[in-house]
Amino acid sequence: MTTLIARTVSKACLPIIILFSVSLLLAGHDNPGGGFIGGVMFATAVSLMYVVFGLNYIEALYNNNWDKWFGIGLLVASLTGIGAMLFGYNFLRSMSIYATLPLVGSTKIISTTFFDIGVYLVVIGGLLYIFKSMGEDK
Amino acid sequence: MNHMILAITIAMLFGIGTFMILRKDMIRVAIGITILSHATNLLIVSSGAFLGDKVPIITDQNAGSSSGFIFTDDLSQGILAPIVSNGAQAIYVDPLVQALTLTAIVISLATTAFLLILCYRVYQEHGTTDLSEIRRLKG
Amino acid sequence: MDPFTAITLAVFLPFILAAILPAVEKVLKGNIGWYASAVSFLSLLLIALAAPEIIHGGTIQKSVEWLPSMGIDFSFYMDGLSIMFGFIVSGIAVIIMSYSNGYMSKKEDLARYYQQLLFFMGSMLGMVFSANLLQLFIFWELTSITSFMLIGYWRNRPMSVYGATKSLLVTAGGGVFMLAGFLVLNIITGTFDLVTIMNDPSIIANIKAHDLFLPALVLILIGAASKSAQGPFYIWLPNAMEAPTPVSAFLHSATMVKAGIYLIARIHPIFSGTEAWFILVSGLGIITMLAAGFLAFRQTDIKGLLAYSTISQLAYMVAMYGYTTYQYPGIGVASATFHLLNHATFKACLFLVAGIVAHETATRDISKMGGLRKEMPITFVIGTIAALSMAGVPPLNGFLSKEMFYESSLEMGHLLGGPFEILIPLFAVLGGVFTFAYSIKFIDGIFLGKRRSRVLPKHIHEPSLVMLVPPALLSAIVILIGLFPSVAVQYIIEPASSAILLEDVHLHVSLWHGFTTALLMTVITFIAGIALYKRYDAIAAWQNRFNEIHPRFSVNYVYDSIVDGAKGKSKSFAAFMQPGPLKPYLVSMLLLFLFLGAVPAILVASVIIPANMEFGISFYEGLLLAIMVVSALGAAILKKYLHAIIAVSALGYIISLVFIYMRAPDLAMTQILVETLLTIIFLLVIVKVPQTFTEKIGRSVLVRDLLISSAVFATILVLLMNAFQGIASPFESISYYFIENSLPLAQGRNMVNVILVDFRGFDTLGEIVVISLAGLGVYNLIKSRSDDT
Repeated sequence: MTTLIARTVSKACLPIIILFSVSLLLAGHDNPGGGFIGGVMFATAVSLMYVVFGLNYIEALYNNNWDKWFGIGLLVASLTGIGAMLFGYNFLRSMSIYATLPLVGSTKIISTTFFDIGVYLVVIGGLLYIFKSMGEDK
Repeated sequence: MNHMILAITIAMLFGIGTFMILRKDMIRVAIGITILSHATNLLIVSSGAFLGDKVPIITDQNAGSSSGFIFTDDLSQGILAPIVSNGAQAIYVDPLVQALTLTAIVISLATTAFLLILCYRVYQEHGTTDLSEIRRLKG
Repeated sequence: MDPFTAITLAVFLPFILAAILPAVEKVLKGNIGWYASAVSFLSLLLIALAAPEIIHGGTIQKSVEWLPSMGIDFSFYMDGLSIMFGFIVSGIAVIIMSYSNGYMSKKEDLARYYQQLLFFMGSMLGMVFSANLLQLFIFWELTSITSFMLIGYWRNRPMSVYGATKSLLVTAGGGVFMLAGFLVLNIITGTFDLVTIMNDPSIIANIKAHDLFLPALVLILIGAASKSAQGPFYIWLPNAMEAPTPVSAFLHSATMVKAGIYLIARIHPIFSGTEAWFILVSGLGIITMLAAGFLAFRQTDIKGLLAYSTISQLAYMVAMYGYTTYQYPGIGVASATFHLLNHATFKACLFLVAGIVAHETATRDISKMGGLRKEMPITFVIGTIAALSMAGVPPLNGFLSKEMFYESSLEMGHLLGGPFEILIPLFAVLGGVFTFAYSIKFIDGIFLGKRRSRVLPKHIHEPSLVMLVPPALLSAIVILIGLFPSVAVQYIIEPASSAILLEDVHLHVSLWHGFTTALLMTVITFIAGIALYKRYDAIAAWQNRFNEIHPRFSVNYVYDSIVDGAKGKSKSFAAFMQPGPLKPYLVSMLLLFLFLGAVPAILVASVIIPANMEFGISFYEGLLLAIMVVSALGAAILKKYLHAIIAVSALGYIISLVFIYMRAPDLAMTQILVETLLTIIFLLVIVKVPQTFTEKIGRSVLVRDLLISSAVFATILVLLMNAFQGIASPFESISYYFIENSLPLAQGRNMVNVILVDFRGFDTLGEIVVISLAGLGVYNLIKSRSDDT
């Protein structure tokens, strides 16, 4: 499968797909998207690289422990829930504020975005962990 | 999309999936389970798809307005389902079934992957993908 | 320290200190037994701290809220009875744990042994101090479980396993009856708090008048009898002798088997003073006393002999606690309590002596021993003192309580009048005669006379001091209580009896009462006992013959046939329910699905096929659906895996198009991506397994599978046809809530996402955990390769 075209195109596409997945993640609350979709998108992009270049090439470039990703994701998602408890609300209760950020302007910041980031990390980590364990097995 | 033809299609997917999980070959069983989960997802989503006709995303022009449902549940008058008041209509398709299915799709990917790798490991340990064969080996 | 804290510590410290025992073992190595003795000594000290107030007639109760919704508190109650048990349990524990240092070989799994002993001690203490019936039940069952583990300590001996299972089935099974009894008591009184019930005369009067009085009493007594090996439940105790001897001394003579006696004493104020109490409790006690005393003759195993003697001695106490009339509710209470204490001392001592003998001679068969007094003079003296005390010979403590047993039997007989005036004392003497005979057998068989077998080792000698001092200590107590009974009576027996009778009790116990009827009975006992002992072997031989001829005539036979029958039934049931291959499971599940889906559908929906169906369809839609069916069929039919997988991923991609039709953009996107990943994983797997597998499907199998598949097809079709017509749902759909509130409450415009991360966030949290687990599962599957492949 490693034709020149495939290599070139996938190299060019990888950053774009990853950027797109992040945009899906952040836009999820108001538009189609969200942690699940963004995560699967990211996982697809990386698995494309695995398929085109082979495991060893990718590992040489960027050796990652995907298990850490889903560990951190679970932590982030749970902490979002516990965060609400610190303010005396129920577990996972959401809240939102409007803030003015530099460059972006007036922005809505919602606590569930952090939960979604947790979901995103878990989906990426979980799927790619499966993928890598399977690919590594000789 | 038409109702009856869709119903027949989903039911056929169920039938084919059922036939496949009754086979002896592990990989075929895995494929059968994939087909069954596709069919289930379709069934759940289609059950909510004919409620309204809009994508369940609030766009700007009707951001403020509600969907127009009045929440009454007057059992004494024999009314069980929510009442749609005059002029209002169900404008969105059911978002709940979509949310359920969204997680179901991702989870079924993870569990199918697990199942496939289980098949692969069983093959490695026992040298066969025949389920009846494995039963005999276990003793 | 306030008494409540002291008792709480005494109960829970053994648990905590036993939990860290494996860590301690690394430091202490072989001396771990001394650590365990120190822990039990600590408990003894803590109980002693709490004791003074109780001895002067007070009681202590304190509770901590436990299950407020059910009105159940965690509460401890201390009175004379529980303090006495506390002293017996922790005191004997110190002696047993020290003795174990000599008895248990260093090669054994000592950490497990001492851990279980300490767990047992903690649960026993917890039980006697419980004020709450449910709490008492929990500790009660904990003692059953620890006893089960200790009897089965030598796991690879089949007899140990058999004995352990038997004890668990009998005692824990009896515990269930006891729990039922407690629940009945709760129905009558509305509380689980024992102290509330005990101290309120109106509640007790209510219980005695209630219709459920007899069921409650019988259920609780079954629990007590199973624990104390009374009546037909005696069968577990002889088999429990497979445990290490210190365990037998501790659990199966001195403490755990007395839990049933404790329970009878505990409920004495509630139930006694009625005819039912006298008939059930005394009847149980007298029958067991005579039967067990008689059955003891046949035993050639020294521990077996002691086991039967324990059963009959416990029966003494049950009989005495049962002596009651309406006017005098507790005739035998003081004597029973005194005998309880005395029995704990001399019987534990006898077991320890038996342990020494078995340890030195490497056998437990009494018919091979004899003449050991020459090699082991000290052991001989200790064993003789204890056995004579059991036989009721003055001036030992057994004599005192035996005398009191006779006295209370006389009094009971006198109060009842009629034939009972003769019968009850007669039974008491008969029990005493049996006791005398097997006590003498113990001394004579082991220590006196000539060696009966050459199998024994050549050089038999006294054991080490570690094993000798504990029984010596106990025999010293036996003599001291016998000579100076007033100390024990004043500080232990009087408070305990007062606690049971709920009034002040004053006893006058001394060795010499003058010439009384009881003394005459004692003399008769000795004479008849010696006469009976002359015929000992003949009776034993007759018993053996009888057993051979009528094997069915025994409780053990009933037990074995019930257990074996249950085993066989479960085996065939399991084989029927769990056939093994995947297919029968699937078929049965599908058939159930068809039943659950189709039958109600046919029953409820008057028309299976709705009237106005739409078949009109646009060309492109029809094409999509046709491709779906074709690709699914392809996945089913194509021979090579690769082709089948390409077909199934075609199906997945088409489904994402269908999702767009159904106005689900999120789903469509996810479906495309997931399908891509799934295809890759499928491909990764199939390159590693054979590329094809052709199953030869027989015609009948094919027909059956097609029938099932078609039935599933038809069921789903009927379901969908009716669902799309819009059946009025009996419940209001909850979806409208999400549609309404997505923007106002959660500030999100994408309802699907809002439901996922906000309204149903907890579900999503669970789902991402599933994904993580699948990842970890795959990793483990890959890495857990067996070495030989």
